[in-house]
Amino acid sequence: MKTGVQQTVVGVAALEHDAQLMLRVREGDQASFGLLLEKYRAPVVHFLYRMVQNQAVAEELAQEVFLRVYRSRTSYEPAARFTTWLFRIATHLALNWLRDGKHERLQERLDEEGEGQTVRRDVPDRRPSAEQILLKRVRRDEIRAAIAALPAKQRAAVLMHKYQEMDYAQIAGALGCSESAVKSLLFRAYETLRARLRRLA
Amino acid sequence: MRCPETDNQELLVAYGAGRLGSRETAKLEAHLAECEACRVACAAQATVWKALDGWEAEPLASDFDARLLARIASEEQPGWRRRWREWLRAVAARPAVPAFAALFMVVAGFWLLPRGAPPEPRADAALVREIEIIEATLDDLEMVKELSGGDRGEGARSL
Repeated sequence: MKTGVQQTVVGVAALEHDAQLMLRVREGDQASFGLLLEKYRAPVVHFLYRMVQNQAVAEELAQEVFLRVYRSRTSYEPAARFTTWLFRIATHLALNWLRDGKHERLQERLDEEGEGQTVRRDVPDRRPSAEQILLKRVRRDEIRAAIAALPAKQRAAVLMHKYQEMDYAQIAGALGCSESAVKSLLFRAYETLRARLRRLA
Repeated sequence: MRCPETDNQELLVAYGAGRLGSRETAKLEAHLAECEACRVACAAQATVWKALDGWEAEPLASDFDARLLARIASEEQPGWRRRWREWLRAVAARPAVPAFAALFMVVAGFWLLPRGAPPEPRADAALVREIEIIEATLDDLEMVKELSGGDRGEGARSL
């Protein structure tokens, strides 16, 4: 029979690598926080960007995500996978931002700023033709619009499923609902997307 | 016409995502060869998947980590220091304040910095040469004046 200490040691050894890093952060190891930041910076920002569809807002929300992770280090308990916990924080912040209607005001401002303006970017010499750029932009806008038209929870479920390759249980953990609810969200979302993006085939 | 397999959304989505086991994939593909409805549904899901693949994320700002670490460091400071830094940040965010600060520094620099050093005395030979050139120029001007005055007098007399 194993003692409590042995069980703890075995438990920690069996923990996923990220959770172990987070436990080290709890002990004051800043380097471990740096490793987690390095690994999840881009996935979190990209997820938030696709949720709120604005890069500056996505980065600001991502800063808040990692700030909350750091603040929670002393109370962190590896009850769920680290990614599930991380994306629960990210989803919570994104849903709050969307719920507060800030995106509508932002979209109005972007629309106003975009009128009559051309985007200037430095591009390499082997750039695609103007037609290709336009076509790509049209396709991207259609995808963005299709995703933006989804209800916020469906959107979050699709983005975690597609881009983070999370399984139903992880998405359920991040959204705080059951697996069957996640499946329902996902399948409705994909059905809507299939109808909307059919012309891109 | 719908097929019971097509109604199996989980199967359809997993196949489109390439997350179906090899045995299930083989079974579904055998079915797809015979079922038009399922082929259409799978093609539509593949279109969605491909479209989402094409939606690239924007690159991150290069100072993302620096900003985050500054915020963490700021939170770990004692209360009064944190409030002071937050106040400075808020003040700096107002557009007029940095402009006024820059103007103030320019004006202060103008008054406080030492004046320019007096010009060094030129070499005597160069100075003498300049005086000679000026005198010669004045002589030439005087001569031109006399000549032109004489011409006008003669011209006037001839009229």
